[in-house]
Amino acid sequence: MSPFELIFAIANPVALLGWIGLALFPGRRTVVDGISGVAIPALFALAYAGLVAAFFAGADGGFSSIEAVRALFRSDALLVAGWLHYLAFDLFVGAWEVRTARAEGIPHLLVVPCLVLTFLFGPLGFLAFLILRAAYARGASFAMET
Amino acid sequence: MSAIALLPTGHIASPFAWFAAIDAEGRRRQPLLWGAAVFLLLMIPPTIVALLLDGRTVNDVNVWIKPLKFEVSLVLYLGTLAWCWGYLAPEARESRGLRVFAMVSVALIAYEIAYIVLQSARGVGSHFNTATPVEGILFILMGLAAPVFTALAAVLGIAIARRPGPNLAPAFRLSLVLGLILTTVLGTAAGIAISVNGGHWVGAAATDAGGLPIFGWTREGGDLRVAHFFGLHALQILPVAGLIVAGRRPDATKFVWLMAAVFTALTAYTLVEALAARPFLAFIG
Repeated sequence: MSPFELIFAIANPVALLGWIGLALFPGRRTVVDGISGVAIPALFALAYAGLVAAFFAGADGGFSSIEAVRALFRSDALLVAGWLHYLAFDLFVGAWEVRTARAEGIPHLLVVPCLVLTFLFGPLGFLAFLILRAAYARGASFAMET
Repeated sequence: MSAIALLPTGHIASPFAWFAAIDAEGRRRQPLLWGAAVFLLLMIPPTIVALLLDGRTVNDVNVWIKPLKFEVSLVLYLGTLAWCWGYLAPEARESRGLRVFAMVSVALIAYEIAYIVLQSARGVGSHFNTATPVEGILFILMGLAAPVFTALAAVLGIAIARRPGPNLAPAFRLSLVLGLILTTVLGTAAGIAISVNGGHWVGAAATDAGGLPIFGWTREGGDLRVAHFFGLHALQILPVAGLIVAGRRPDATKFVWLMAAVFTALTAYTLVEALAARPFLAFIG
């Protein structure tokens, strides 16, 4: 197993733990605001920073075209860095969703599908949460006060 | 003469402020149903993006046409129900039974739209798709869910009849009650016809290509979705007509009964016509 495969194999279950924390303990600030919202993304950021520092200069390609990006991702080091980028930012957004829902009185049960979508398809889940927020944030809730 | 507050009054500066005022009023009347309508409304832009990018088809039309139609229809359904909730007597609006029914309906609608969107993303059909056992079960569950959330209209209509809000013109109140009840009765009747028929085409090829613009109803034979459409939208059509009547003659309830009878007859006619394998308004070609 190459070091990149090792990083990949460790990062995936760690990210999953962060997501499970968000889904099961939305009220625990240690879990949401601390572990899933900062600590795990920061850990991924650390690994990402090392990978980019060590391998970006020596890689082909760049950000300017689909072909350049494809060339960049032919490097296993930068492919796993890109994957860590997804994992870190998706989890960070997921934690933001839980915090925002908590602050604005959106029932957690409705946030969970958005978390699943954010975990699987990042921006799609983010959009779903923005729509949910527009529909049920602050004042509007299942309590249905009038 | 009774005052009918259809829209918020006062100085409204811009179209955005106008929309915000309607949104605030809808939330005030029934936040759960109104929120669900807002949710589905905001699903329309990403659905249109998918429609523009996706080349796959189901029944020879783009896979995203169906989610789009259901979103638009359910925005109108949920938005109108939330708005009509405001025509209940204040104490009836808080009724536990009504609120629970609204909650169940929203959950079932969420299931229906989620499954329709998922199946479109997979590029396959949702209703009448029994290709796998799981899809067969999920289709049956849609069939069980639809009559339940469609019944919310009649339940609200009966509640308004029994405990109407103050200051409602009798003609307008009756148009609300009849529109809501007919939505459930006619919409469900047409839905059952589609179900029993095993699809919406009668004597036409199983394709939605070349249908009536926007609606997609086949021109080659009968299409049971015509009656489904008119039935389900009774709750917009009759109250708008009732509002116009009440504006001139607040007590013209007999005229509202007549309108409801004519509307029912026309919807029934579109159903009979479809069952006889004739297209809607055959003369337009």
